[in-house]
Order: sequence, then C-alpha cells, then structure tokens
Amino acid sequence: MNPDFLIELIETFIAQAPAQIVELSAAVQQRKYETAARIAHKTKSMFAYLKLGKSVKRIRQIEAQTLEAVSADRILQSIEKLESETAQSIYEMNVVLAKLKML
Amino acid sequence: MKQIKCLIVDDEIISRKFLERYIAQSPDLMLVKSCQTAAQALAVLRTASIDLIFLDIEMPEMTGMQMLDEMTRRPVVIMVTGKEKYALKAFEYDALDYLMKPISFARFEKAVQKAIKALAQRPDQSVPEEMFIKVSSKILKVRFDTILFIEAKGDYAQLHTTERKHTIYTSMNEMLEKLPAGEFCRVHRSFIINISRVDGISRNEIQIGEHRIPIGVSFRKDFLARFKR
Repeated sequence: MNPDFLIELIETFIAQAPAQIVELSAAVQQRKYETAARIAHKTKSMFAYLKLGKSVKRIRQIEAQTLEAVSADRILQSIEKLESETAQSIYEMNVVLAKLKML
Repeated sequence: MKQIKCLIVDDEIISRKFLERYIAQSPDLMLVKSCQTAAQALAVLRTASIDLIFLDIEMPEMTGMQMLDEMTRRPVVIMVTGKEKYALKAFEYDALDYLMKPISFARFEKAVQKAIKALAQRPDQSVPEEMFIKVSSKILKVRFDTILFIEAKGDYAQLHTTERKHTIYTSMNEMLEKLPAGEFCRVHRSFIINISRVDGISRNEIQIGEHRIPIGVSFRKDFLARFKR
C-alpha cells in the first residue's frame, strides 16, 4: 500500500475510532439500541478496512448484543474490551506511523 | 474512451477514502465528488452530470434506497454495504453490483468493468448543463443552474437568472423543451421554475429568493406531487 495513503488511513482511524466507541457506549447507556447497532455497524467497517480482525469480531458481537437488546451491562463490558483493544491497536499504529513518516 | 464520472455517497470516512483511492487508481474513472450524506449527493446530482454512483445503503437521515427514490433519472448504481441482507433490495433498485465492505481493489475493478459495459450499452444520458439563447443580436450561454425562473411576457419570455434578466423571443412551450425536464417545472400559465431554487412553498405561491411566483390552479396538483416526490 502506498505509504502516504497508509498514513492518511491510520491518522483517520486514530482520530475517528475512539470517538465512535464513546458514541457507541453513550447510546448503550441511554438504552438506544437501534442507534447503538447502527454505530457498531459503521465502526465495524472502519476496523475491517484496517484488518483489525479481533476487534471486528468484538464489534460484531456488540452489534448482535444490541440487536438482541441484551442487558446494557453486558454490552458495556464488551465495549470496554473493545476500547482496550483499540488503545493497543492505536499504540501499534503510532509506532508504524512514526516509521512511515521517517521514510 | 471518455472517462466515467463517478460520485461516492457513504457516511463512513475510511470507506470513502478507499473508494476515492480506487477511483484514482482506475484510468477509466473520474471522481466528481465524494459525499458524506445522501442530501449532499442529491445537490451534486442537480448540477453535475454523473455516470456512476457508489452508494452506501445504511446512512442516517436518508438511506441509499431513499436517495434513489428521490431521483427521476438514475445513473448506473453500485451499492456498497456491510450487510448482505440488502442484496435483494439492491437488485430490485436495478443496482448493477453489490459490494461488501471491506471492498478489495480486485472486487472493485470487477464491478467497474461491469459498469463500463453497461454504460457502453446505454443511450447517451449525459445531461446538458447549459443552453444558448438569442438576445437582440447576441447569442449567450446560460447555465441551467443559474436560472431562477422564467416568466412569459406576451410573445417573449423573461429568464430570471442569479445575475440578471434576459428577454428572449420564445414561447413557454418552446422553453420547456429546451430545459432538463427533471429540474424545471411549469407552475403557472406564465411561469416555469427551477425546482432546486425553491426556498419555500405556500398554498398559492412559491418563494424563490425575493420573488413570489404564483401557482396556477391547474398546475398545483402536479407541482405539489412532484415536490413531495
């Protein structure tokens, strides 16, 4: 992949993904499951493009949980795990980003 | 070969970036605009000629399907989505192809090849963007998107544009034949309006900027039905 495009993608992901997870969490806390499912779906696509398979599975699970309207606590637990996986991914991406910018 | 003019409509930024990149890598394609919402895309479609739309289905406010319902003249459509459940619906809307996110370049190219074939078989549907009018001894070019409305004045018609008025020797029927049908509408024996320029509608009047255009009784029903659509 072209390095400039990769930089653009990583920067977009870093700017967007945490905010989308916050939005998702807020929707679940307010029991707006339909909105939460829509946000989860949109977020999943972003992770899938960056080939973050583990998180994609997690979001798929969250999406299913919101559609089944399982307890908010259970969904929020899944979101917490997603947050921590995303933080790790962003850490690794920042390392890649620094290397790409030195090229 | 003439480049295919493309429009992207997707609320998801990384998906848009990939489609923009794929289009830039395809010499047969030219990106006209990448839109985040269906409303933005409809505004582009009112003024630009588009051959091919990459259209997301699930978008807030207006979905891809609802956007297609709003369009009287449809370019070739390739649906892009993250859900398989819309596939059947997409083909009911005559979508040429259905791409599942994340979309690979190989799959994108395959869809584009289909679009190239489909467009080659279509009659030329490119929409003219302007017309020429004779004013006194001059011939002037007028872009359709600058026209606010047209008013009959005896044997003449007065074109009210964003910049000035032009008076030309023509009938309202002749005017209607020259204008793109989906974009203009006769609302009164003496008035044709540019639909995209309407700011407000009351029972008997249409507001376009500072102008008040009367709605003729015999035109009201058709006009309102069209506007609701």
